[in-house]
Order: sequence, then structure tokens, then C-alpha cells
Amino acid sequence: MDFSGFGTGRVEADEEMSDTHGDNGLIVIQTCLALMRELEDSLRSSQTALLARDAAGTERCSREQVRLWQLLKALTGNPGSPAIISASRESRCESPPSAAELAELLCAAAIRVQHLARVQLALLRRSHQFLNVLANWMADPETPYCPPQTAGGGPGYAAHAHRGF
Amino acid sequence: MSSLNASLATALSGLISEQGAMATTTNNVANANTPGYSRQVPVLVSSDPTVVDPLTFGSGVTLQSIESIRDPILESQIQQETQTNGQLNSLVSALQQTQVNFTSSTGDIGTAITNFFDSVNQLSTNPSDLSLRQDVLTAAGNLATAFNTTSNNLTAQTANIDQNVVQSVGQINTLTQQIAQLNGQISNLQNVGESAGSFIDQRTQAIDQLSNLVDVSVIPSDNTLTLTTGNGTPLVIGQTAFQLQTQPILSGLHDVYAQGTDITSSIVSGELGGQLQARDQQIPAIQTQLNTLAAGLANAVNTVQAGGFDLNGVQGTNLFNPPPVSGVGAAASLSVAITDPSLIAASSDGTPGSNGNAEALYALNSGAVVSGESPTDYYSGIVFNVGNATSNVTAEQTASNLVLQQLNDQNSAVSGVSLDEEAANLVQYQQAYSASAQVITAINDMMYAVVNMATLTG
Repeated sequence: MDFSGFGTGRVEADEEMSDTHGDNGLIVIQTCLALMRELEDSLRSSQTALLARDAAGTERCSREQVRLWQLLKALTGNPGSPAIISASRESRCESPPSAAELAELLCAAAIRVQHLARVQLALLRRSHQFLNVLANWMADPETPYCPPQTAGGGPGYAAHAHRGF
Repeated sequence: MSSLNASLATALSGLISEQGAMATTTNNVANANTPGYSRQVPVLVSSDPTVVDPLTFGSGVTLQSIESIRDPILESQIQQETQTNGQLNSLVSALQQTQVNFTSSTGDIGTAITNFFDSVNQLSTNPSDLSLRQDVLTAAGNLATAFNTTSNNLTAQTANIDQNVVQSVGQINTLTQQIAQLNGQISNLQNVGESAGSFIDQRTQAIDQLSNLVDVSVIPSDNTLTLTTGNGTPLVIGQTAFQLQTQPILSGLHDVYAQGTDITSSIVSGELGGQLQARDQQIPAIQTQLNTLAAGLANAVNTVQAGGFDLNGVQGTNLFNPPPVSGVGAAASLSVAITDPSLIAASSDGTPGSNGNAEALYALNSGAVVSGESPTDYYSGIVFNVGNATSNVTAEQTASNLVLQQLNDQNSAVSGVSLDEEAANLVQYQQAYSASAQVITAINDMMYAVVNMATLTG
């Protein structure tokens, strides 16, 4: 999903859609659900990135999660906003389920997202601990640690890891 | 120039070394699926050369040692994560059992509180109706039973966890004994320059098992290891294992002692740490909240009862037997004090038709009677706390499982046996062995030629 067109010309077309549905509440739930699913996917991706110690991947997923979270906040704060109506276009279903079914799905998605967020927090804590251990280990003067040389023969990044890292 | 005999010896050293290398590969293949086995590699070194002035001739190869491939830092990380994993497994198991008491059912406290106040509300519509009064008594009895059952379940769970604590200490003692013995065997072999790879593997596996049970610090020293708990209590020093003991305390539960010192509060990780945390912190905290709720509710109901009049126009008596002043045991001992339904003080002025006091009783449902909260809200808080703690610990457990899996995979990549690699090694050693054998054949031919030459000239 791409919500980059928030507040742009897409709004007019989407207002039409809103009129067609006539049930803003249902649209809000559908949009929430779509965002939650996207957040769930992003949390799973960042889990993999964290385990692989992929800093760039973790950073990318974190930005994505912040963006999705802000969208969710905007959605729940002002469900009638053009931005939300725009976002809802992405989550429109061919045969929309009932509000009760959607609410149930949303609740289940929220529980999964909460669990994944907690797991991510725990993984981040472990990564932080690991980096601390690594930094201390590298800074230990007793450790037979030799900073790798760069291609040019100069001191590489690990030179920073020498004492006082 | 080197003699034919010297060349024969050189070729022989090749045969012997390659044979040793093949034996190592064979052992790796045989242990490909052995848990905890670290793959071994032969360490081949060139033998000291022979100097025949002015030339230096190599004198073959020596199989110096057979080394196990392991990453000590990775192993240390696995041990640390295993401790956390063990602790979380115990906590999740305990909290999930606890949570069962607070899931919505007909017999849970939340439902009993709601039913009790509903019955009081019904009574206020017709305060002189004996059947409605009986309903209030029944609901009060159910409420007391719900508190008793939940509290007793928690007490029984505490006793079960205490049994697990005793069992864990027994397992720890068995493992420390085993590690001390392995320390001796490893030390004996290494002191005479022998490889102790398989014993080290066994010891590493035993330390992993120990890490799952308790927080362990591993301190390597000359050819041996010292193991202590997180706070420095020795478990194994060299070939000596220090046994932990359990002793019952006043509450009937067992504390953990090391050389006469109570170390219970210092054990924080491993299954034992998790068991102690559940037994001494999590469940008692829930019990305390239950006691507060039971005592607060009972006292509030009794106070309102005392302010009204029963069906006979007499001042109301306690509906619930007064809970202990300290509140300790209030949930387990909560009971209904009256059996006669006419003794319920529904009237506020002494007339049978008055419902003023019944309404005051019903108002307790939304009044700030338990630590500034209504009984329902306070109970919801307990349910939330239990659920939240369970969710948090479950998420931590998921993260720990993921990290442990990742570390074990990394360790397998370093120390595990790759059958493809071993197959390639086998071919390599086999070819080297064949080549050495060819050299011996060639030297044999040369020697034969020399002997024949000697016969001809003789």
C-alpha cells in the first residue's frame, strides 16, 4: 500500500467512493485493518532484520512502522478526514464483510501486532545488550584484537573500536 | 643426500598421518547427528627437517593433534540465552496456569461479584421477598467460594512450583557432579598433551543443561573450568562440585542454600530462577491483590449491613465473617456469616418494605471501596495485570526462542559436521594415502634395484 498521496488530488475521487459506501465507520475499520496487516508484515520483517543484525533493514522497517503508526493515529483521531478516505480506497473489498466481522478481524490483528511489537522490543533489548558486550570485549586491552585493515592499508572502522570505544 | 630408508620413513609418516586424518573424518561422519558434537580437524605439521650439509631434506609429516572446532564466544552467548530461556519457560508455564483462574467463566470472581450485586439489586425491588433474600445469600456464598477456590488454586500452584524448585536443585547437583568429573578427565588428558575434544563436548553440553536450570558464570582456568552462580556462589571448582541444598522455611516452602548460606534471592535466571520468581513474587503479588479485594469488599458490605435493619427491624449483622485485620488470607477464608435470609439488612429505617440499605449495598458495586476503586474495577485490574504479565513474558519467550535458534544455527555452521565437506576431505586423504603408498612401492623397487646391483657386482 502506498499512502504517499495523502491530502493530494486523490481525495476527490475517494470522496465519491465514500458517498457510494455511505458508511464511514465501516471504511475506517477496513482501513485500520489494512494498516494493521501492513504493520504486522513490517514487524515480521524487522524481526528477521534484527536477528540477522541487519542495521539498514531494521532502520528501514522502523521508519515504515512509524509511518504506519502515524497513519493509524490519524485514522482513529479523525476518521472523517480526506486523508483517511483516501487511504480507505486501498483497503476496499469486493464483497465487504460485516462491521462485526471486521471488528473481530481488527481485534485479532491488534493482538498479533501487540505481540509482535513486544517481541521486537525484546529483540531490540538483546541487540543492545549484545552491542554492549561486543564493545566491552573489543575495548578490553587484554583481548588479542587486531583491527582489520581497509583496502588502502589504512585503519578500518574497527580502529574506532580500540580502547575507549 | 637422504637415504632410501629415510625416504621410506618419510613416506610412512605420510601413510600414518593420512590414516589418522581419515579416522578423524570417519569420526566426524559417525557423529554428524550427535547432539553437542563439535567437528574435529586433524592438525598436520611438517616434521623437523634433516640437514645433510649443505642440503636440508624434509622428513615427512606428523599428526600433531586433533582439534575440535568451536567458538567460545558463541558458546558463551548460547549459555546466557539458555539461562534466560529457561527462566522464561518457567514463568510462562506458571503464569499461564495462574491465568486460568482469571479467565471468564461461571465460577470466576468477576462473575461472582456481578451476580452478587445483581441479586442485591433484585432484592431492592422487593426487600421483604424471602426468595430474593435467599438469592443474595446464595450469591454471597458463591462469591466467597470463588475467592476461596482462586486463592486455594494459587496456593496449590505455589506448592507445585516449590516441588519443582526441589527437583531443579537435585538436577543442578547431578550436573555439577558430572561437570566436575569431566573437568578431571579433560585435565588429565590435556596435561599429557592428548586431545580431550569429546569430553569438552560433553562438558559443554552439561553446562548448557545447567544454564537451562540456573544462572551460571563460566570462568576458564588451566585445563579446567570454574562454575559459579550469577552472584559468585561456587558450583564447580576444578574437580570439586559444591552441592546446593533445599531447606524448608516457616511458610513450608523451600529455600536454596549453598554452604549454609541462603542464596534463594540471588538466583534470577534459568528454570530455577523462573520458578522462584513465580513462587516468591508473581503469585504472592496476585494473592495480595485478591486478599485486598476480598477484605475490602467484605468490610464494605459488613459496614453497610451494620447501618441498616433486617426483616425483623433489628440492626444488621455481618454478612461476611470479618476478614483478618492484616488482610493476609482474606480471600482463602472469606465466608458468609449468616444463614437466615431474614437477617439481610435491606431496610434503612427498620420497616420491612424499606429498600434504602439494599440500594446502599448495591451502590458498593460502583463505589470506591477497594483501594479507591470499585470491586469490579479492582478485579479487572488484577485480570489485566495477570494477562499483561503473561503476554509480556510470552513475547520475551518468543524472542528468546528466536535468538537461541539463531545462535544454535550459527554454532552449527561453526561446529557442526558438514557431510559434503567430510566427503571431500575423505577423498583428499584417500588420495594422499594412495600417493604415499605409491612412493613406498617406488622406494621398494629402487631398493630391489640396489640389492640386485649389489648381487651382480658381488
